[in-house]
Amino acid sequence: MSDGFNTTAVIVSVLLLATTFVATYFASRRTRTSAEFWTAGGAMTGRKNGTAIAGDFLSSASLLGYAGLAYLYGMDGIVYAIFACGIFLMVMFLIAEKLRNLGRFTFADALATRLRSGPVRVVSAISTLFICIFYLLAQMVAGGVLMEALAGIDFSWGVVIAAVLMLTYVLFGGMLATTWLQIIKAVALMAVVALLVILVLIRIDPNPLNIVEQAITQSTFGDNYLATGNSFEGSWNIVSMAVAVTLSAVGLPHVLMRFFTVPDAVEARKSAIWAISLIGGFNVLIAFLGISARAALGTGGEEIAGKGGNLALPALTVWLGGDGFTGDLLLALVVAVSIATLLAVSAGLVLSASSAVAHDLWSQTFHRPEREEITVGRIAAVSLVIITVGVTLAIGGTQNVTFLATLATSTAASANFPVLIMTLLWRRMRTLGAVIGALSGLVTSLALILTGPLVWPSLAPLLSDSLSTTAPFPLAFPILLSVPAGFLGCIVGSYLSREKPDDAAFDELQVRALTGAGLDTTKTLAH
Amino acid sequence: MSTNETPVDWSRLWGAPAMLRLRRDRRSFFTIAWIIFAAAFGTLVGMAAFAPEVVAQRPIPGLSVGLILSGVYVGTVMSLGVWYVRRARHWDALAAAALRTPDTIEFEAARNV
Repeated sequence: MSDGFNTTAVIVSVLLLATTFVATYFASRRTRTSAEFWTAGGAMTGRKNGTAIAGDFLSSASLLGYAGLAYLYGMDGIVYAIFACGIFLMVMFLIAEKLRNLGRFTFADALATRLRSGPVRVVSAISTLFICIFYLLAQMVAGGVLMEALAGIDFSWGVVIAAVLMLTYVLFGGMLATTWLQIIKAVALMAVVALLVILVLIRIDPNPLNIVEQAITQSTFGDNYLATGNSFEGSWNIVSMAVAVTLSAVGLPHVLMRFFTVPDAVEARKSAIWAISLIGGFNVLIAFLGISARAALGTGGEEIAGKGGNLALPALTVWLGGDGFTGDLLLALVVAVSIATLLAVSAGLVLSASSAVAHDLWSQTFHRPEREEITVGRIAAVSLVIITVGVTLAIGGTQNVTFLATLATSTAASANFPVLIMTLLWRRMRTLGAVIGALSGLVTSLALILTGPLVWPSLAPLLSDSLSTTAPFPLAFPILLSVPAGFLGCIVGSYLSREKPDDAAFDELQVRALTGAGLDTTKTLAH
Repeated sequence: MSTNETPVDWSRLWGAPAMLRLRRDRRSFFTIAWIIFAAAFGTLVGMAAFAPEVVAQRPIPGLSVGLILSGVYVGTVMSLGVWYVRRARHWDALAAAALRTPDTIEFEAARNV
């Protein structure tokens, strides 16, 4: 959208980021022990943590992607955003409280309550690193593209700047700084979206239903703008999308880790309900803004919005603000919030991946002293970011961001979710079941994504000229098969295992999961 | 990984009357909650996937069946979340009662010293 350096956008972004660095400075003074570094000492309130979870989950893809999809495809984009409203209900019903009652720093702590610690921690660390790197790649690519398109900063420099900023939060402030970054970003995000909605109601029409009618008349789909199937090919693609989106958070390590930052299950529940409310409210408003962009920009805006529609929201912002300073300022706000968003999500991912290395592998599997965890975690964080930046610069800004994010969430739901659920609920579950379950979910989701319509058309010609570019697996989201594969792996592995049953350990897990028995109750909330 | 501080008979605790009450109460909540959620989710997915022309129909100008279903889904999710949080307060009391046994009190005391 921008042909050159956007000074207003850069100034507003710097001001917003300066606020987060002040928070990081104070957080660094309160971060000494591993518990403070990884989980903010487990002393966050449910409201703060819930806001931070919303901040963690509302990525640039949510802000720009949902609005873009609604702008381009109408109802397809709306249902995408609407299904995302149910994500944290799944987390709350299935795992939030139990995880809080059983774990300490990572979700592998909960698995190790009844399964053999070494193997489950190694396999959890592998899946965590896999998921975090792919999710991080998506954020870095989005960051580079965003800075280039909206602030006029070169893609490569945008990626490097984003990486350095994000590392600063993680290295100096740990989870406390990352949490405050998420909170500041979530509040700013909600404020900007609310402001845009108000402006839409003032500038286009005070009645939202009239705006929808205008959007229908401005769309090339006509009355079908509010029908599904404008972008999804076939009914089962819609079903798989709905399931994939709804289960997208139940296995994401950086989201699960957030439940260890509160002192008990009561605060974990409050976190989840705050997250549900904020994410639900945001998604409804952002879908409405996508529709409003169609009403305001019409078909003429499709070129500005780009092929994926990612720049529809910035284009609407410019339209709302008009030429001059107001337009520049509104666009600058969207740019600043978008940049803060990707930094916040990336920081959470790096923290989660480094905790898997430092806590699950270094301290718990290799039995090194816990006091070394923070140093090892910082080294792991720097290494991870260097690798990710290198890969991002190699693949460039043309890589499909949605594909990378899909890879991460589908892999998380397929590898981690079945293992967590079966460990919590199935008495017959064994360590071998957890290992095979996680690996079968991971491998199946990767294989189906590679042979699916998102990747196969560009992959097939590279493998052989004789291969058809029609994807062998017809669904974009592999979850309808890969999650059952994860569950099947858990069952097969457990039946093949020679590990002796330990009913007492399962009973202990059940009692502790439901009651919080054995939880450290000496923590005090940080109000 | 059993705790070493004080031996607790977890199996006995799992089958204790107070724990059974907690388990039964949770089960009854989740049975109803999952049915409600599945109905809302299934209706929206089913209509979106298999009846796109119905989803596009507009009983009122600007308000389609799909938008109404979307609103109902969001409302259902929010309501279930609030219901869960309210119901869970009762579970906290039941959990505390279930843990009020001599060996768990000793266990907790040993942990928090």
